[in-house]
Amino acid sequence: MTDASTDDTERGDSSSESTVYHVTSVDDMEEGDRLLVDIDGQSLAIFRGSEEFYAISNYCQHQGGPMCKGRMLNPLDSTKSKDAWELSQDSDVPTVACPWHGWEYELETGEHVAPTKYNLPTYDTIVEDGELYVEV
Amino acid sequence: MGEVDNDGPIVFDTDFHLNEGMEHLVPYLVDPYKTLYERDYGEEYRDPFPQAGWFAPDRMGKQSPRQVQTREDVSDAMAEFDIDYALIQPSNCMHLGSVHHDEFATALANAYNEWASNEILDSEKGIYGSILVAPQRPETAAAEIRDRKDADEFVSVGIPSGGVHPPLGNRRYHPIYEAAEEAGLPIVMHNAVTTIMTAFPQLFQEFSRNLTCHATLHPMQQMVHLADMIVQGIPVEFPNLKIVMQEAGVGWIPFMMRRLDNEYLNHRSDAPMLEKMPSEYIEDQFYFSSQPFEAVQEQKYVEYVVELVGSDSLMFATDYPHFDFDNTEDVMNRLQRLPEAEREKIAGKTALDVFDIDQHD
Repeated sequence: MTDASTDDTERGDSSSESTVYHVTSVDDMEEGDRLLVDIDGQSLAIFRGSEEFYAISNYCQHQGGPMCKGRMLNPLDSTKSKDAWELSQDSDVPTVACPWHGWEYELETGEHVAPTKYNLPTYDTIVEDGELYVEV
Repeated sequence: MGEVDNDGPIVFDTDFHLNEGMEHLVPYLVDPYKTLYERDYGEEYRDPFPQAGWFAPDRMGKQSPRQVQTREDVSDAMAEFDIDYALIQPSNCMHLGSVHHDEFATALANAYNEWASNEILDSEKGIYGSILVAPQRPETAAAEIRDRKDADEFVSVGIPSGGVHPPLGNRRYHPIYEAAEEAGLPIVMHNAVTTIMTAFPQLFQEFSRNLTCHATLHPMQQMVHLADMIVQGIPVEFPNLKIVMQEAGVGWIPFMMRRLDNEYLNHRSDAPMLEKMPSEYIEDQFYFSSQPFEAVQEQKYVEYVVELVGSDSLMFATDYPHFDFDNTEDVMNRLQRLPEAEREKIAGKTALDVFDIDQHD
């Protein structure tokens, strides 16, 4: 796990409710890569998707599985045809599935793909001058 | 014994699985099975267990569980999950009851026990196992138990209960029970889902008594229909449809609400059309008649079940004049401690609403 460094002074946009932490250089992560970082004892999983970075809590809401080891996916869907619900894979919503039991969350919002209250905390990511930051 | 965490209670994991493959079992098979198996399959080690070939989207390339195939694998997982003692069970061999060749099934059970004993189990590290038996040959199974009963690493007798035919109450299994009792070992039963292709649900004549049949089949059938209707999207396509399930008692309802929700969170791709959790569809569109209201003498149970099912879903029924009918006065007495509004719903108002009947003057 990497310790993220506080970078609020440099960026000058911290508030009493959130702090911006430096994570890594953008070039250090390729699409599909993930990074586990510790921020003040809080374990965050950072993912690089096809277009942006995502930061989520590393602990699955189910039984605490390590989200940083989960597979990045797109959720399956179903389309009603004349006589059946056909499974489809049209969604381009990036998700990550817990490696323990498969609980699947949208990386952007942290919402479970099932209509449940068990959602995962997410954090804003910021890219500036080739550096990646997360706001906690 | 495993790594004991002195800060917490002793943790004994009573169902911890190996991912055994035929490559682990074949070296321990007795002849002629070993020779025959290797002669036909060479190094490919084709799986002898019947496969249903099911399609499970959420298990395909999604979860990443580790394979547990060595003693070190077991120890690592025990340390990771704070387990002090573990009762080891197989995975593939849970399908043993569906193996069509009875003698080969006993040889597989024997090979598994040999492999587990030699390469996995270790009583000093808290890694214990069940003596796996093939229910197809009870006398051979009894011999397997007697041969291994004094080994420290075996603390129970494992019956793979899926695919077993006839059910395990049949007298033919008495040799297994006699041997287990004589050895002082508990019987551990574990099902495997895909064995339903060979022996589930049992047909009527396989249920030895009416009690067995009646006690299990009513809730089992309703469980299957309830799950299938939701997973196939019936309440999504027919959002105004009300569905009433009868004659299955009540305790299974909150169980299934929670079991379906729990499974749906893992396996949403089997029913992506759902817009609510399964339990919410049950609350909104399914209704249950109360009879036979089991444990009606247990006031706390009755109140708790009513609370969990909800008075908007539960409807009193007598089933009169069937043999197991419920007496109105008796059931109403058990509901006395509920708030009046809830009691009235269960007694009749929910039914008036479901069947769209104006209350008579």
